[in-house]
Amino acid sequence: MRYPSNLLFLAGLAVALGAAPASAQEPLKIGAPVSTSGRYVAYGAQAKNGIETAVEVWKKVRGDKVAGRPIEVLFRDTQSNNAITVSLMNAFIQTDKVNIIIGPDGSNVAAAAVPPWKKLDDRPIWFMPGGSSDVIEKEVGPDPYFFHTYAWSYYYHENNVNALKALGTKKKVALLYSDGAYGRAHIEDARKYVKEAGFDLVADELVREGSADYGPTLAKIRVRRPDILYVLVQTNDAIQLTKQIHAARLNIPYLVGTAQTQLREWQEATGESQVCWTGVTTWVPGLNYPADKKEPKLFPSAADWEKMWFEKYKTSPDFLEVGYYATTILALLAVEATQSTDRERLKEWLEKQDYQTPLGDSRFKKSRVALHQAFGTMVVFQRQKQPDGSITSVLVYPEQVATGKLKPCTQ
Amino acid sequence: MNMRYVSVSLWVAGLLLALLTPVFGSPTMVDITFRTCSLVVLAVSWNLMASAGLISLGHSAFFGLGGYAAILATNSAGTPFWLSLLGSLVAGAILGLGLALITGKMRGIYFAITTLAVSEGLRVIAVMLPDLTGGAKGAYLAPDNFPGAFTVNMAMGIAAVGTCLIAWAISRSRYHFAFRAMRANEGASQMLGIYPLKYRAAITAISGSVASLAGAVEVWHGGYIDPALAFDLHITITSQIAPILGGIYTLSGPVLGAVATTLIGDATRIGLGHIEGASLLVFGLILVGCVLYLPQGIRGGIAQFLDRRSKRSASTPMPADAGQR
Amino acid sequence: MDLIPQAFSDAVLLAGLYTLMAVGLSLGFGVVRIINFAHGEMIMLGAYGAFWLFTLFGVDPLISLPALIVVGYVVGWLLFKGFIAKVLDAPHINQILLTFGLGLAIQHIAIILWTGNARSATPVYATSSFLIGDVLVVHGRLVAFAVAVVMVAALIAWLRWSETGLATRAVAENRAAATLMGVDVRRIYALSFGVSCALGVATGVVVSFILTITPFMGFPMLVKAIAIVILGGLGSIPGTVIGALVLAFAETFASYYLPEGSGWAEGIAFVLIIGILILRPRGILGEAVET
Repeated sequence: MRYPSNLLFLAGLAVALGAAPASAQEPLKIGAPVSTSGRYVAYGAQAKNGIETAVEVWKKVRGDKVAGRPIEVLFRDTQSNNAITVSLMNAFIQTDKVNIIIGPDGSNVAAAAVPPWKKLDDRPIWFMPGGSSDVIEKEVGPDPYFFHTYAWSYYYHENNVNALKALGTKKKVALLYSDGAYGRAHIEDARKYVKEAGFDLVADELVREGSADYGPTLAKIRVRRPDILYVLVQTNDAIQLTKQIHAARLNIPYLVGTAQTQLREWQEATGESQVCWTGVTTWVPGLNYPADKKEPKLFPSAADWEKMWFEKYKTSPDFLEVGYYATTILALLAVEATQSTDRERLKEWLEKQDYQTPLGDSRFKKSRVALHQAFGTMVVFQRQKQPDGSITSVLVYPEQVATGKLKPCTQ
Repeated sequence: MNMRYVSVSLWVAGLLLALLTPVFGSPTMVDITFRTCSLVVLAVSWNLMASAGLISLGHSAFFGLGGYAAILATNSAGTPFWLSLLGSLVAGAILGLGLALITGKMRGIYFAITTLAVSEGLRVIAVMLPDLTGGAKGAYLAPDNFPGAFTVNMAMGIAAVGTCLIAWAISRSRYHFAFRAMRANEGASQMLGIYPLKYRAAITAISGSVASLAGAVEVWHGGYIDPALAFDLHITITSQIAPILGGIYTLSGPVLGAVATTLIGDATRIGLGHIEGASLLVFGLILVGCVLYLPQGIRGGIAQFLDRRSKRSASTPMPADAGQR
Repeated sequence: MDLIPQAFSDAVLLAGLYTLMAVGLSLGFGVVRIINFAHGEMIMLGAYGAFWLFTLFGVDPLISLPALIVVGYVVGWLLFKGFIAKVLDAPHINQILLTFGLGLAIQHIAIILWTGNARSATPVYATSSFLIGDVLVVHGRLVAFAVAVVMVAALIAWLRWSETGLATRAVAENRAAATLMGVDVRRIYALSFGVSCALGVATGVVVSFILTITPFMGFPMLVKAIAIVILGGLGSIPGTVIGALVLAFAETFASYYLPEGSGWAEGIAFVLIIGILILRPRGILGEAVET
């Protein structure tokens, strides 16, 4: 019977040794629901890269701690599943008692995360750098602790249509959207802005997500002879659709995409078919945003940041990666500046801060419903073929950042 | 020691745990219990159909229908919590009855494929009628008054206990023999004077209604629904994995399996969540391993183990063995 | 402009693709009596194989097709020996869960090896096309159609005229009788499961330049393939061709002529399945396969 008492002694010693420093520097806990398996796995990987890089850069620049506390990021897999996401949010808030939540990524899991967060009174500050659906915004409402660090769906169309207005108003537009979450979340605002701009809506076609053949829809659009084809589908469908549109030789002068055009997945998978497509995004390689004056090492210029990323990952970053990076740095800065994790103080600080990040201005503004919205500045660009044969993104809107003009497709 | 006594007390302990955790448990415990109870309902429901020889590949049809029935009743008519659950029970029973009627004498793989088709068909409807269901964007539950997390957790506990009691009652009744005969050979059972359609309709209605109830309580728990996840294949699959893992055609098998599935799922998710793809890879491998090496499930494995031990101690009382005890 | 010729051409080409998707599954079921829920993952592996050979070494998918078919056969044979052989006499549900578990594992191995990013091979013919009158034909889809015709013809020829093919048919029709005639049933099982997987891989190679490649691409195709096999009648290869034609025509014409038709098309497929199962419980050309 000697073992137990020895063990007890050792355990007591461990507690005594561990307890004192632990209470003095209780870690800053960041809850990060990421989809590292299931259908959103590509997004989850980007979200994780963004947060990890931010913490790494912070440690290099500011040391291992924030406000005297070690940083602990709790990555938890949503498995791209609603029910699991609900459990995760509950666990983050009630059990892990995280100080800040960043994520989740895919639209549906982001939507599922809202009710569990909202119904708890001691909910922490929540950053959402993914999920653009307006149902999320309506459900969150004017909640003081919610910080959306990504564009809402309607920003896409306001900017896209503004860029297209330069072509004159008599243009005929064909809308093509999927029955999936992406298409449904975007179609209403796309219609609204297209009509408000005075364009003539000649086709409004729904396609099935994951369909093996978009031929029928394209044939129906062909007979309407639109000037602009405006496509609202999610990345996987966009790849197949882009190739089919190219093959179908529709002779439509302007091919307008949304988020997918900026993704390297789409660019690599579509080859020559991507030429002439426009995209609208918060971030695109080659933006000329300068470094921040106060924190030039945490928020270097967009070009320097892109270079840093390329050295680490050997690929250029995607918008979720830069979004998660900027969001995480902002969260750490908030804790450091207020020397606290109290949500009221963090909120007040976040409402006042103003940095120049690689993703643009970090100031939070009101959107349609939500109180805090940042990084919503969007640019419109076009994939153009250069004389050397490469295909690059040329910024066409807004004029201040434009590096070229919107050109019609010549097929 | 009397095995029967042990198993009855384990049952009582398990059922009490389901009902008492919402009262006394920590948030983590409450959460795990909620998900386990949800899976218990689905697994027992699936196993009820399987016991009558009806393999369902579309249990998400009931689950999703229940969820949508609850959210539609609540958002459009302000139906209160308990009444919306009742509505989902009825909706699930109607779908179950309908399924029994359209499948008629279909058996085996044909019945299975029909259930898959029903589930996919309902998903398409949910996607294509956004004005009614919110479409792929999903819909949020907007109740007039929310009954509180405790009540919702309790409801799932009661649903699990109730489902187990129904399964127990069936296993004690003469229905049990009818189902066993149908499982073996529906044609022959008809000659024995069992009218299969009646029993089939009864079992699909009961099974469907409880699975639908699970979907409804989940909606009240999560507050959000969308077609891809309401009619998710994952629901169909876990409601089969649990009984297979625990022991198919038995009373305790689905319950054991539901507990094991939830725990394994959580362990791989939390332990391997930082590696892309790893958690579901391990889940897949465990599934393969179980089918290959535990064909009678955990319950069968335990029974075999106990059997071997009791035989060994009874027939060959070896001194070394005796000394160890 | 009259869209009927275009719709007709689209439907026929799609039917070719659907046939290829389903024929391997149909063979596997007809002979081994197992619905291989990992068949979609064979398609996925074929697609990745063709994609990587094209992207890394510039090998055209059509040139890598024969080699990948052989690899697919070997993988199928190994899967059979390693896993399937152990559950041949187990209940259907165990077989379904085993193959489903294998599929889940293969999917996530693909994620670990190649990430979840969406991809697609880009040979020139994937996005080029020609016009016959008003009808537009995409080269890539015509190529896929041709591959499907060749593969199905080869499969039928093999079943009809080769010795192993005849043995396979004998096993499919009556396992006990075949055993009595001295056919090594287990060998035939392994062989036909291998061929079934090889057909899955061939499908993958063809879709690698038409559709989008992701680790999850397999399952929706499996569901579609099951639908086709059920429509045509389990285990019947001509039935599978008919099932593919029915589904492709229903989907395509619905997309052309119904409002929001392309959204409802998938639902139409499932209504068709239920309808056919009620009217003809063993499919359009179903043989008396006892399940």
